[in-house]
Amino acid sequence: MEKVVKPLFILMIGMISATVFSQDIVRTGLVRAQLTISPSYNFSDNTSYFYLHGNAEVYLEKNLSIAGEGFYFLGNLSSENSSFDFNHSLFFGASYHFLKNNNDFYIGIQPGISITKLDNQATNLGTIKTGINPLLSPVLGYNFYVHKVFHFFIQSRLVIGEHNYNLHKSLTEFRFSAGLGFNL
Amino acid sequence: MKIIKLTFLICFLTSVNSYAQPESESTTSSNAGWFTLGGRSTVSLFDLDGTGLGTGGQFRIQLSNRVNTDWFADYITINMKEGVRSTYYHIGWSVLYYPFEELRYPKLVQPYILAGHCFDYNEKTAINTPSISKSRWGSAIQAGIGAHFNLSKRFDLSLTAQYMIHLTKELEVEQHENGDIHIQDHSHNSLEGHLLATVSLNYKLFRLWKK
Repeated sequence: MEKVVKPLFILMIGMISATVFSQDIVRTGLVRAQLTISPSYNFSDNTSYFYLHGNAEVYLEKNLSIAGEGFYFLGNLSSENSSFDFNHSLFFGASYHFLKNNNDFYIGIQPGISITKLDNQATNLGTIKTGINPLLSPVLGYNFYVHKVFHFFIQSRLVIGEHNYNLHKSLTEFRFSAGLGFNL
Repeated sequence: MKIIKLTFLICFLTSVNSYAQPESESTTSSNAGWFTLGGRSTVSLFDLDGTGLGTGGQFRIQLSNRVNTDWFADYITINMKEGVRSTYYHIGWSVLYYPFEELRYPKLVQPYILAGHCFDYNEKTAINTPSISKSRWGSAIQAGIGAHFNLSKRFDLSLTAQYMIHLTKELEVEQHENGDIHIQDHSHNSLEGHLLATVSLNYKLFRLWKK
């Protein structure tokens, strides 16, 4: 039985690999999009938060893309009260891609804004104001294009910024995203 | 051996600098009329208010191979040490001049000098007492240097350092011994300003005219 299964398995892997690497998936005009859950680590309060992370990216050339990304605040990962009522963020920027077959490593930079409100229960500050804060985010990531419709992705980013409403709070944190994306 | 190293270095630099040059265009063709749109991040430095971060956008209209114009808007916030938030809104324009003929679009590195004018709005608010707040409108001039990095035929990443001088009375923050914060107009124009370091991402959308 093993003698049959093993060659079949190798043949199947070979066929998938041949399909993947024979396709020129990354091309000028390719649009990729994804939606995932993104955990983060905030350096100022040593707390992990998590976000719903959506992204849409267009390849202007094979090695150059522009992207719009949104992070919807979902809460913190611990049982303690979160410092934030919400801390949503939006980014727009560009990435430079290093392609080899269907492996796509990239670096990018994205200016952005956060829409942030501190949590009243955690801060005891009375009336809390919502603030819009400038952000800057260097991005590092990897896409693996397994099919003309699908790709796997890993993305990490540093978010730099500060919130200066009601009290000063650093928004600087590391965010990580991974999952399945779609190509159009 | 030194000659070989030097030759290798020259070949490498030449190849890097000619990387972004497409076959169909050369530096001698006219680049007038390009409309470019982009986003930017700005760090405000050497400001009496402190160091701040900003987000904004700009468009450019290129007038000739040597001259470009940059129309921008920035939103910058600064956390002052007195517990005051200083927010700047800039809206203005600059003229970019490309001094080196051999380093113009579509070369990879395209240095420039720039100068211009902007309107600015500054609002200072006590962070934990938002009712203590004061704002002013003003005008400013700026000048500096920078470089486009033409990563493709239509896309560039630009780095700019420019000093902006405010031509208006600044808002002064006083913190009394009991901790009270008082914000007031400065008694006279002081020519204070800040150094703005900007990274911008720009895409040439279309040509408004062709020469």
